[in-house]
Amino acid sequence: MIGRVAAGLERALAAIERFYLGRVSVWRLVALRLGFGVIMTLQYLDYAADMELLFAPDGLLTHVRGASTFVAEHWQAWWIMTLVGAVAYTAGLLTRVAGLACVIGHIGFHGQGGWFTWGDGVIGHAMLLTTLVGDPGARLSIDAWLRRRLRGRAPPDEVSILPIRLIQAQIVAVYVAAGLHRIDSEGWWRGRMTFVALANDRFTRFPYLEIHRVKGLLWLGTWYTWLLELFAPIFLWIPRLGALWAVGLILMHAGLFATSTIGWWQPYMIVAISCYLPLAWVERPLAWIEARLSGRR
Amino acid sequence: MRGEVRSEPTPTRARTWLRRTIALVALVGSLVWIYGAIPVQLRFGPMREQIPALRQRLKAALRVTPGQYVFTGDRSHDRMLHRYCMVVFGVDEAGATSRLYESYPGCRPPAVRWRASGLEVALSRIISDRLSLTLGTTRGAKRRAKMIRRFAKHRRAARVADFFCDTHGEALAEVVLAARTVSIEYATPKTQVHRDVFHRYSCRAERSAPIAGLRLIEEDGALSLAGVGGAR
Repeated sequence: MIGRVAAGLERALAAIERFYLGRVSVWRLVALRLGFGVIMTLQYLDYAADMELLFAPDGLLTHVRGASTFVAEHWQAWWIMTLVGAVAYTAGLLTRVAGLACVIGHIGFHGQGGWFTWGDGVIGHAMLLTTLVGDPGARLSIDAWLRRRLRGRAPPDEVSILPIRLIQAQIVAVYVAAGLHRIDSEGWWRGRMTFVALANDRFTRFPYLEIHRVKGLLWLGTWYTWLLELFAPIFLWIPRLGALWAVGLILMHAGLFATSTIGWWQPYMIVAISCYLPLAWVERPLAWIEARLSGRR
Repeated sequence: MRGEVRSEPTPTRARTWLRRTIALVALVGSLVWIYGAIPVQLRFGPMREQIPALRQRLKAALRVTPGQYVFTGDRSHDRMLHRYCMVVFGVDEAGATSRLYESYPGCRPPAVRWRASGLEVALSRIISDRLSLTLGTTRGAKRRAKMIRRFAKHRRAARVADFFCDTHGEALAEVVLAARTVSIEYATPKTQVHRDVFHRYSCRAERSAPIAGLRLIEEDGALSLAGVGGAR
């Protein structure tokens, strides 16, 4: 009896170990690095015009906070650190250090006003930081190129799956929150929330859209969104259905990004959800790019 | 993804235990993270109360929370905010007003909003909780009066006004933050209600001033301010 329990425990531990620390194709992590890095870079380039007005010692956020901070005093250096960190992380140059600099910079800016965010306050840097648990610069990076040139080290085909599992846990948490917090919301039950979002000219990209004419479509959009999010924590893990669900979620986030200005978390989620897409969809294009860059066919 | 994960080749016993410990820590961490995303009313078990505190600590330290509350939209789906325009007026010693900021030129949003500027996001966030109060219909006048009173004393709005006082030097005697909202009903596109909110701030005294008598005048959609009076 004890032997059977011990064997069962051993199998369970082995399964947990394999789940969190197994090896997976390196391209999964590389795809996340490129995606998160590009978004973070675009974000901080896009903010360029607003940085001084918001973050400088005499900027709006410092006024609202009532006191200056280290970040405010050195906002230019802080911004350059964040932006250079994002660019270097994307290019895979000193990948982990660059990623960490970018995350610290991002947290620093978002710490200047709890009420102020560009719609990515709790998503982007958390995902990017998680990739640093692994080796996101293992392929298609300057680091990998230097390792091959200087040390003759061949790039790995596989990396630890740990960062991907941790990102998947965050994705599940996001949809648990999004799906379950709406179950007692009358607006969602009545299928009106897409209408509400598009009616508000603070958020919609199309302020003059005559939304009453497409009420039925928006009702469907609300239910499509809610059902996808509500069942995502379960269905994303089911083979084949998971890929279909991931595509549905990506389309949903792309639709939200196309129709509203609610921030950068939509692109972050699209990149993160790539964890659930079939490997070939991620691997083939990236391997092709690597082959082109290295002169191989 | 199931078929693509491979095990570590022939690890030693010590390494196996180390790896299993890490994996267990990751499992427990993931479960706590996901549990923390469940709404508190649906939560169960001994950590029901501890999770919100953990969430707050995480948010304070890393600005990360397990999951996020996204767009639950409980209160405003019959009548909702449709248009809003915020204008920051500067008032000089002679009582003449100038526009220091406007959500959109002439309060007309563009056909396509490609991006929201940082200032726009910041200013709209400052009054967003007040804007939602403009949507009530049943207790209309009473609710509106209460909302306007609150915004008139809003500490964050006062600091925003102070920002505009500082950025425009000695020229300004007062700054008035004004917003006009237009709501729309789900049932019909015809019903719209205008609400105005104000915050008045004295650059000289560095404190909020009474807003009684202020009103917005609309001409071809553009807003101007009346009721600021003469020299003071």
